[in-house]
Amino acid sequence: MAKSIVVGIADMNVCKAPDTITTIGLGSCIGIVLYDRISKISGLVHIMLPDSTKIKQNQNKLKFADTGIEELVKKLNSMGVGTAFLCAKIAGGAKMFSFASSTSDLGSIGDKNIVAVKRKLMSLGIRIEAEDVGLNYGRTIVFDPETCQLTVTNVGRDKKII
Amino acid sequence: MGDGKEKISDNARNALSELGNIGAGNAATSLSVLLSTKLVMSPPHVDIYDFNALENIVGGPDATVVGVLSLVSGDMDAMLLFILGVEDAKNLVGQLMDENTDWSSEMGMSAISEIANILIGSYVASLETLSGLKIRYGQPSLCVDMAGSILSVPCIEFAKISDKALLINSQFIVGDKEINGFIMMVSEMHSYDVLLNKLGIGGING
Repeated sequence: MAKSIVVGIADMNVCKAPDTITTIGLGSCIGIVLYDRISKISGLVHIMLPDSTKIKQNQNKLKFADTGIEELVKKLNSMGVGTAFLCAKIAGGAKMFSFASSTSDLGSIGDKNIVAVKRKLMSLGIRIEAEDVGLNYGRTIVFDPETCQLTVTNVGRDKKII
Repeated sequence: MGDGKEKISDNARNALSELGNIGAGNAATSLSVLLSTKLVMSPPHVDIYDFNALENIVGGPDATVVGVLSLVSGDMDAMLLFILGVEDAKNLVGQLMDENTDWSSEMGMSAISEIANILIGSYVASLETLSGLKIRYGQPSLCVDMAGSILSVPCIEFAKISDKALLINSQFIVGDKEINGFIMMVSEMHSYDVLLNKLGIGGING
């Protein structure tokens, strides 16, 4: 029986076909799926913030784009999947609320997350095969390592397979 | 910083509870005047939540909710978030306008925004009166989406300083229609300390 593995906020997990891996309610956060087509092993990390070096309280590595992706790659490496075999699909980074004038970086955190995730993946030489990022709505994602398809569902919109 | 931040003393919890009670109580009175109906408030909960547990309070991460967020600034920084389930939004708009008004229409949304504005305004006003702090609040912004996505906004602010979120949560029931709404105040720990100091309590831990 295939299971659906749920990943929480600032959390990660790995999954092997026929199981699927999912995270619910991505807002400005980003879900990064890393997968290997041959071994059908995949992993998902749900990050909240772009940069661990800018924050003092950074013990939880899975909270940040830079260290979160590193941890996931490490985990996949330990399962015998080489970084060179990994591809990525990413979703999230929305701007949930819009404010006319705002002194905080509330409105732009999604965009910053997108940039940070892409930069980190590029530095590791991991190609992004598909993405559904930005705009102003939340996303729930399910990844199937068998087909390598990422299903993105939203409130009041048709689901999307990328 | 560190583990001590995740504890909250009984004194601090009681004081924040009472603030939430008075804040939400005033907000509810304004709403009851506006709707000319009876309104019942439940005592507020004050607790420190794990990010992943926060979503379950409003019905799980994939429940569709209406969220209205306002940024509070001045002597303390916080976010006030007003959350309604879809059914509750429908009933609230029905009570305020008439039953044929579609809650998701521009008119319905505008009505919900206005209600949130009044609630948030009276919440902030009572915080100011009680604490003597100068607090401003911004024009609220509305969003209909998954609870998880909406709550990720205050969670991200929290994530910068902690792995947990402190939440003052008030719930109310309007008239015979049972409209359940939540007003959450989420703030960074430092602002809670400022607020509690003003009230003569050492801080979140003392």
